[in-house]
Amino acid sequence: MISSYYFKGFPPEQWELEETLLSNINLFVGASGSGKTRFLNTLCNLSEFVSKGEPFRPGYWRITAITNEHEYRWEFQCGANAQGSNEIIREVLEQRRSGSQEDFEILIKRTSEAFSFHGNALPKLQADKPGVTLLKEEEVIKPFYEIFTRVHRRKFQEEGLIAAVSLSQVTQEQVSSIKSHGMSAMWKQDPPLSVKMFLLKEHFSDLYQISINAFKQVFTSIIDCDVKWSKEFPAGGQFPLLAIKEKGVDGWVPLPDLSSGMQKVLLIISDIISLPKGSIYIIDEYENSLGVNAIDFLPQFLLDHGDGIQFLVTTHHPYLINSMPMKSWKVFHRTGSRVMIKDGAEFEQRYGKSKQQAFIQLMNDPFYSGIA
Amino acid sequence: MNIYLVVEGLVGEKQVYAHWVPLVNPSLRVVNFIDEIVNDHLIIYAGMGYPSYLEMIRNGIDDVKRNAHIDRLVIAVDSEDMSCEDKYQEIDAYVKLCGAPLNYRIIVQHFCLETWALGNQALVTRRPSDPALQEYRKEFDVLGRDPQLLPSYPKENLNRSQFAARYLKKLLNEKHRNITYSKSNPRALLHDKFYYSVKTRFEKTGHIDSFDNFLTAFI
Repeated sequence: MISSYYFKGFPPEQWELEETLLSNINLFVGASGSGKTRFLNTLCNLSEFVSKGEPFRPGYWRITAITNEHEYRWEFQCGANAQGSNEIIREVLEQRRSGSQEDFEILIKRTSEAFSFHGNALPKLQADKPGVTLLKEEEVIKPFYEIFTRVHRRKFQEEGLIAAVSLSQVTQEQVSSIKSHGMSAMWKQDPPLSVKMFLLKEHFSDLYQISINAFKQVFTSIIDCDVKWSKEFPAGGQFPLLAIKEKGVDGWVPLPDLSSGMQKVLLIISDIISLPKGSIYIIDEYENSLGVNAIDFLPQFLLDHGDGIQFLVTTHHPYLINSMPMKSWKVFHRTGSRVMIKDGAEFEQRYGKSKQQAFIQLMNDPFYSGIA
Repeated sequence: MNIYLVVEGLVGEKQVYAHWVPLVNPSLRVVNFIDEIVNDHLIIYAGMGYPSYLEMIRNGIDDVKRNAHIDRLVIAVDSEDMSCEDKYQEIDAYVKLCGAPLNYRIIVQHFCLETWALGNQALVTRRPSDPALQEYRKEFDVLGRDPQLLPSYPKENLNRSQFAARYLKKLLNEKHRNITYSKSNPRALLHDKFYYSVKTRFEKTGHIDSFDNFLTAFI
């Protein structure tokens, strides 16, 4: 879990995201343009850079993270060198010494000129890869590195949803990899929803059942839900295809024909149910174009099934804001390129003095609206 | 005197009240949080157009009852398609149902805040260049006629509130090319002169008579 996050971009993108303490469930709220999505973009870019070697944007990050056994501090700066190519300028990874409150041990120390691990100088290594990636196989680095491999951002906008409901075959390779590596393998493949439900049904039947039950609870018109084969539908072929039966509707309705609200809800339910512990799951404006019944299940669902997972959720929806404990709010406010982020706990006492709904008080707060 | 004000609209309506109320009663100062209310303070909660406005009124009544130093609850609503009287009765009945505080006032903006703003005669250009504005003035000239009598405008599929907002925007664009108006950005209305022009219109002509409630609610 990432427990604190600071970012400062370099020209031409000189955004600064003030240091923010993060907990398990984090509800990002703030006016449009206040920096919520920017925050998520910087985190996702960094994760893809560390875990997949994707191109990076110049910037400076300061992150603390907690794994099962350790707490880490990571300072990381990358940007263009004198020759104009990107490289790591500075990197320090520290781990808290066991039993100590204050004392951290330096694991990686790196500048453009020198690179050491546990205090021992290393030969020159790739200048455009972070030490955390280069040394990921080291036992002491691995847990920290793995945090970045478990950042999942689900896109609920059009293309993301189309890809999620598309038809796809189940390969033998998928099955054997899931059998031997479990959910992490499933997330590495991130198969379309019908395939995922098929794999859940075949190999994790308890999780499959929880997903189906939760889905039926949200949409009470659904009387049955199952993974069929596409040959039973006009689409043809031999692909697994999730389908539902609804009250008053003849026959099975396949996933691609469901409303986008139903698709989104099933997607988010199956995601949360199947996420491996230690994952970071990002939900960016999930509520867009959804009816209230497809929104109001989420807060309780996160609490019931989100154990061991960190959630970063952006929203403008009054129901989500009202129903999440204020201490899980992160309230964004932007002045120019500087983004201030206040913890919801700071608002709790003050808002507790009025009977107005928390959402109404937040909308009227000058920190939120920018208008005093 | 400390006043607790609930307005129905977006943050822009709150901004207009925050600017205009101290012009009615200069001793009042706007605060942002209920725990900042001490003496001669005004706190404003905007409903942001969400449908829970009646719940906001009920919560406002609770707040006023629980805080002895808040002297008055003021509620501001648009009458929209209702008559001013009917809207007043509707809100008054609800306030009484919720156990009204001893001291409360209801401001019915008949039929919306923009109707009052259309009372500003200084906004009206004699010969507008915008053909749409020329049409609007032919249809209903707010310079001479009471803006509260503005009809709907079927030609553009606008009810009277929408027509008032569009009319106001056109007048402002005609007068000041770089100033626009929207419900969330009412910058043009946040000037003392604007308020005094509206007040003069009411006092001299008796037009926009629902503005009278605004003038008396904060004194």
